[in-house]
Amino acid sequence: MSNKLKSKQRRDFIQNCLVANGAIGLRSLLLGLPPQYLLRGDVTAANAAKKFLIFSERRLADPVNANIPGTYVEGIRHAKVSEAGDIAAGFETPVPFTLGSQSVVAASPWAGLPANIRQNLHFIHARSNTSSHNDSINVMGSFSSIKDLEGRGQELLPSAVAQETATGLGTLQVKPFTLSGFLSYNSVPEGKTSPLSLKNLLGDSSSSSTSIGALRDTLMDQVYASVKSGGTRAQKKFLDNFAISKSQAKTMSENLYTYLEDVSGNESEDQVKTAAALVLLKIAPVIRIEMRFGGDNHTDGTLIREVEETIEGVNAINTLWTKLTEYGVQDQAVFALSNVFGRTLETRYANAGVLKGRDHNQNHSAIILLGSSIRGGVSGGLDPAFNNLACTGINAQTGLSADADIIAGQTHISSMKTIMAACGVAEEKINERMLGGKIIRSCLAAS
Amino acid sequence: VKELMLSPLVLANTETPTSKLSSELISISRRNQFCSNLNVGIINLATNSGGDIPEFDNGESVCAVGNSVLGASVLPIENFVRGVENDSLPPTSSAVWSMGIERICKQTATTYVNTNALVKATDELSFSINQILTDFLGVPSNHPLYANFSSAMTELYNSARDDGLGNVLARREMFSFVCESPELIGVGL
Repeated sequence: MSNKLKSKQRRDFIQNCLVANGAIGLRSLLLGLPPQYLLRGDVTAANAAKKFLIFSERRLADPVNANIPGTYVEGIRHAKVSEAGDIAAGFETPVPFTLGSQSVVAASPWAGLPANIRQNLHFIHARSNTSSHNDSINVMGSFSSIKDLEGRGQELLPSAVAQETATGLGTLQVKPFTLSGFLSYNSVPEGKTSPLSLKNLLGDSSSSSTSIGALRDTLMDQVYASVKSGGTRAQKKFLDNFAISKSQAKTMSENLYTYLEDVSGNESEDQVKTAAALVLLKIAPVIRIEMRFGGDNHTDGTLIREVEETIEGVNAINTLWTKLTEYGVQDQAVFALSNVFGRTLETRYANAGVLKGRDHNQNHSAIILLGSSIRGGVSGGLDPAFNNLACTGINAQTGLSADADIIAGQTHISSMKTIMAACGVAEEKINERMLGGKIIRSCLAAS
Repeated sequence: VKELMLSPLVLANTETPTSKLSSELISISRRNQFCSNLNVGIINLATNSGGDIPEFDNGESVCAVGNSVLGASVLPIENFVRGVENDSLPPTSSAVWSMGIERICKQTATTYVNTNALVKATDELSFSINQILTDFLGVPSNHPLYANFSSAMTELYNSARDDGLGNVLARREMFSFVCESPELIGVGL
């Protein structure tokens, strides 16, 4: 065979490879993404819309569900000036405001949020189907309704979102970054780093010089060359992970500290400031935080703690969005809050005449969504058939309780699906990873 | 019993069908393990160099000095309390954990490598290397890793000196290099 012919055949072969299977090879070459990745179906026009998720969950199950739009109906207790003092005025008498185009009433802190935030702020009345703090992990996994990458076991929502968005977002690490609370990734527990610890760690400049640091990495590879070539899979994985972590640490050290200057503790405000910086620098696809809204408030008889921490929590949401806007990344992020369960809504007494705070409520909780992919409004509500103490079902298109096609028991997994959709994950992928429920389209700006 | 104790299930020196499926066999050192390892290494250094022998306190003291406090604050700690969060600890490394280890090692090097400290800047380089490897790290001279470490440490020392670092600082680079090695920061490697 002549050289010319051989060359032509080789060129034809390469050409055929590139255009075969829907030109997957050519797309791979042009996009710089592996063919296997393209074949997973992730890379679509929607990929450009993948968003960071800032996810707040507290196993203490704060009473965030007690003062949101839809709760100012008969039979629901709110803080009173006569019991909690003047600070409770905006809780006793709800304030009218708009969420997107929807007119609502709720406690005054919510009404006080700037219009640009309320335009994209949505509340879902849902139920988590548990009243146990220890189900915190199970609720984040919607009781095994959220599956791992291989379709088995249970993945937690923040980790599932990270698995689907990290590549599209091009983040430094693929796993979520935990600032507070528990999180596992692929069933393996993740470490958490509080905002202040992170700031202090980054503020210490005792690292080796860049040139020595690079040499150290090379030398460490040489020391363990035999393990890397002939070691077990676990040994190689450990060494690879270690090298990746060192490299990520360098990038974080170089950039992050300047954005954490006004972090002074580990409160909600500090967490959201840190989260915004982590989004700006594309450190992780998901930031896991814990926002306070009143805590485990059984004994908060006057509801004063609920009032104070609700004000604090709403302010933190405002700070988060202000920071993201200041950094110019507000359109690239979604904030979601979903606790392990909600709190009881009616008046309860510890003893005759002695008011209790709020107990555990498996029948009602609040899920809050905020972001440019979110449409302002309220989905679902309280069910008069249960004295307004439990949530209704939801119509996935309208968000109303009427003509519900999502039953109350499926409102949580439906909300989780909606969060994933708001983060830009394709519906087909969502339904593959999450069993049951439906995306609540009334929550989404693009629906 | 002997066969059982020598089996890959116990030693994890070779792969089994189960280990191929599992995500991790080797864990990062948590705070308690890492600080204890340092504590033991420093006691060995002190014992063989005739210095004051520090008390073994599970590494609490060594991780409570200067910047080690910052580093230790981000390492997961084995502190089980019934009913609180989760009793499982992260086995995989992360950027923050890696930074924490680095801070502790730098501080430990500052404390124990100096003109009149356990690792003396006035000693021959080969003596210091042997001291760090055999006493601190616990890798004897007949171990396969000894020669690799020794040559890497020499190269690192020379580069640090070429970069303008003094005798003390260059030795500290060697010390923290060993301190951050997988031998100390991993469990089961």
